[in-house]
Amino acid sequence: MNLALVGNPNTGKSSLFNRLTGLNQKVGNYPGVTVDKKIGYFKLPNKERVRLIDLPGCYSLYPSSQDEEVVLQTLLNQDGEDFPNTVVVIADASNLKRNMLLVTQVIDLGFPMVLAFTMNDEAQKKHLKIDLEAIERQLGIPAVVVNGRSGEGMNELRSALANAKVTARESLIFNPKEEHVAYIDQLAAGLNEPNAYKAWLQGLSLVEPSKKLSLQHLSDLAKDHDLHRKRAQVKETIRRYEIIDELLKSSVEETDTASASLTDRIDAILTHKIMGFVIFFALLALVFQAIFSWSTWPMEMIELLFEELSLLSQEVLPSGPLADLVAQGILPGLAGVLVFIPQIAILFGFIALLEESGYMSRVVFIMDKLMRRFGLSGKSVVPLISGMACAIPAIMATRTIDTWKERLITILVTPFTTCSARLPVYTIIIALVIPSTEVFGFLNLQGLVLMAMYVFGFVLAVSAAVVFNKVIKTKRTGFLMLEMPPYRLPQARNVGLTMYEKVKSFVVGAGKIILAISIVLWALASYGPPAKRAEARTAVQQQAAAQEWTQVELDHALGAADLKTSYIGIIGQQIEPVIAPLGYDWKIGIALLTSFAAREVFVGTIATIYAVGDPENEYSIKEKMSADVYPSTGKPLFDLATGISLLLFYALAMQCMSTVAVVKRETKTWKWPLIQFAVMTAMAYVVSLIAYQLIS
Amino acid sequence: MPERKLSEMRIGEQGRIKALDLASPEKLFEMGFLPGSRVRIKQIAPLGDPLHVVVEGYDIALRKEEAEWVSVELENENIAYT
Repeated sequence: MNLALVGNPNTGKSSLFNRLTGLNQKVGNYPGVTVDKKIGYFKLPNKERVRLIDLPGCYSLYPSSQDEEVVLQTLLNQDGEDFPNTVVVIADASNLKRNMLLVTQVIDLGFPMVLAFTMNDEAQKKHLKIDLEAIERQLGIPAVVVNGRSGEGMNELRSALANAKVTARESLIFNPKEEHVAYIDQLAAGLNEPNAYKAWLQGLSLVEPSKKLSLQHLSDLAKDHDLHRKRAQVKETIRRYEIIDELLKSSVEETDTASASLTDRIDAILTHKIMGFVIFFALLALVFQAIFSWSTWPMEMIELLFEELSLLSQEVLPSGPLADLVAQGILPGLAGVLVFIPQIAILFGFIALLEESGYMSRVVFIMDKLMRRFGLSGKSVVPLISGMACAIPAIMATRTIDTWKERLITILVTPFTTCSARLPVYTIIIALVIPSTEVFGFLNLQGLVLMAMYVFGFVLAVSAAVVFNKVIKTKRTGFLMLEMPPYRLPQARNVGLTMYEKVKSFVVGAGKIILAISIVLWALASYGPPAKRAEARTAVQQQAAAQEWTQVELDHALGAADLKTSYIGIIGQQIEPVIAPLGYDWKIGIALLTSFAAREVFVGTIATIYAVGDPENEYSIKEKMSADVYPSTGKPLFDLATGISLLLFYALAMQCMSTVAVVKRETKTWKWPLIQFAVMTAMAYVVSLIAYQLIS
Repeated sequence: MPERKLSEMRIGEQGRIKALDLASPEKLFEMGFLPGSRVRIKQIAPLGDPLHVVVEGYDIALRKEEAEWVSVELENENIAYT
C-alpha cells in the first residue's frame, strides 16, 4: 500500500509518523525542490506492507510555498512514484474548523481514506466533544481518534487503513461545477479527468501544467470563462467554511467556558515585556554554555579515537601511499567532520525541545518586531542561533520564513555568525598571539577575545542584513503567519529522532565534501614535480653533509623541502604576493586556500605543514608555529598583526563549500551564493589588509 | 456597534469579522479569517507587533500589516482577559 499522510502543520503529524514507522524511516528530497521527503514503512494487521510518505504540513491544497506545492503535486500526479493509493488525513480536534478545510479538499480528490483526529486531549480541555459517528456519516469516511505521543488509537488506525474505502458520499463536498458548468465540462474533457475537483485544481494551474493541456491553453480557458484564479480560490475557501460550519454544528458539542488556561498563564510570563526577553536571553546563554562546555569531552574523545586509528592504520597497513592516504588523508578528514557531531546534536536537541514545547513560537512572537528593523523576520531567530553550530542546517531551517525577501536575507547573513568550524581556527590563533593575562583580576584576555569574535560575528550578520534590506527590492511586503500552539511537555522520542536526523544530514551533506577535499589536499601536499623535488632534496643533503647535521635535523629539513616543492607548496608560493600585504606567508596561504573548502581545514593543513617530514613530533604544532620566523627578516611569522588579520579574515570570508552548495540549493540559482561569496571574501581581504597595515 | 480594524483593536476586545478585501493575502482566508468569524485579541507582543489573536477558537499571531485587511464589528469593549 502506498499511503500518504496529509495534514496541517503542528497537528502531531510527525509524532504520528514516528509512532507508525519508528526508526524505519528515511529522509530524501523531492526532485527539483529542497523539501525533505520523509518515507517510512510499517505493517497492517493483515500483514500488508505499507510505504508511508509524510507530506509537508499545509493549510489547504492551494500552495503558497514550496512545501505546499509538493503536497498538491504528489496528490495530483498519477504517474509519480509517490502517488498514493490511500490517504490518512489528520485533523487537530482542538482546531477542527480550520483543519476541516484541508480535510474536505482531500476528500474531494476521491482517494480511499481514513480521517485521524489528533490533539483530542487539547480539545477536551477546550470542552469540545466530537461525535465520531456523526462525522463518519456526514463525510462518508472512517474516522479514528489517535495520539501519536501516547500511542493511543494506533491499532484502530491500522485496522481502519486495512479497510479504507473511497468516500461513500455521492457528490463532492465542494463541487466547482455548481457555478462553472461549461468551464468544468470543457476542462474535464480536455484533461480526460472525470473528477470535477481534480480538474478544477489543475485548471487553476497551481502546479506544473498537465501534460494533456498546455499552461497557455489552461489560462485561455479560464479567461474565456471569466475565471480569476485568486478570486476563485477565495470563493472556494469561503464556500467550504460555510459547509464546514453546518457540518460541525451537528457533530461537535461545545461547552466553552472562557477560563484562563495554563497556556495563558505561562504566556503571561514568557511573553512579558521584560521577563520575556530576560528568559529568552538566559535560555540562549544556557544553549551556548551547553554547546561549548558539554561538548568538550565527547569532542576530545572523537579526536583521540581518530588519532589512535591513524597510528593503528600505519602499523597495520604496509607502509606506502595507501597507508599514508588512510592515516594522513582519509582518517583526519573523517575526524574533521565527525568532531562536530556533539555540538550539532546538542544544539538541535535544544531547538527540538523548544519547538516541541511550543516555546519557539513565543520567541518568534516577541522577536519579530525587533528583527524586522534589520530586514529579518522573527522566524530568522532559529536559523541565526543554529548558525552558531553550523550554517548548513541553519540555512535549511529558513524554509519556515513566509516572505521570500526575509528568507533570502537570513540565508545571506547566516554565514557571518560564528559557526563551530571557526572555533578551532580562533582557538589556535588566539593561543598564539594573545597573551594569557588576567583582565580586571578574573577574566582571561584570551577568553575575552574569543567572546569578542562571537559578538563580532553577530554584529556583522545584523549589519549585513540592514544593507541587504536596503539593496534588495521586492514588491511584496513582509508576511508572518504563526501558530501559537498550547504549551506541551516535549517528548524524548521526537527530540531524539530530530537530533538523529540533523546529525545524519550534516554528516552526509558536509561530510562528503570535507572528506573529498582532505584526500585531494593530502595528494597535493604529498606529491610534486619529481625533478624539482629531487633537486631540492639533493641541495638539503649537501648542506647537511657540509654542516654535519644530526639525523633529526636532516629529516626536518627534508620534510620542509618536500613541502615547498609539493604541488600545494608551489601554488602557495605563487599566491604569496597577493596575501603578503595581509601578513601571510606561503604556508598560511596554503591553509587559506584549503580553508575555502571548509574553515576547520586550516588547523589540519597547518598541522600537516608543520608535521610533514617530522613524524616524531617533538614539539607541539603550536610551539613550532610560534617559533617560525620570516627567513628574510628573522621576525616571528605569527605576530599580533598577522594573528588579528587572520582572525578577521576567518570571521568575514565565506570559506565553506558546503554552505555555497546549500545556498545554491535553497535559492535555486547560482546568483545568490556567488554574490555572497564575492562580497564576504572581498570584505575579508580589505578588512584584514587594513587591520594588518594599521597594527604592524 | 462600533467597527474597527483588527490592527487597531486592543487586548481583550472581540467581535465578528465584517469584511475582508478580496485582494488581501489568501493565507488570511485559509487561516479562517472569514466574514462572520469571531476574533479576539489575546495578547500583543512586547514591542507592539505582532498580534496574538484567537479566530474561532484558534490561536494565531499575525503582523499589524496583515491585520489591517480585516474589519471587525466589536461585540463588547474593554473586557479584560487575564
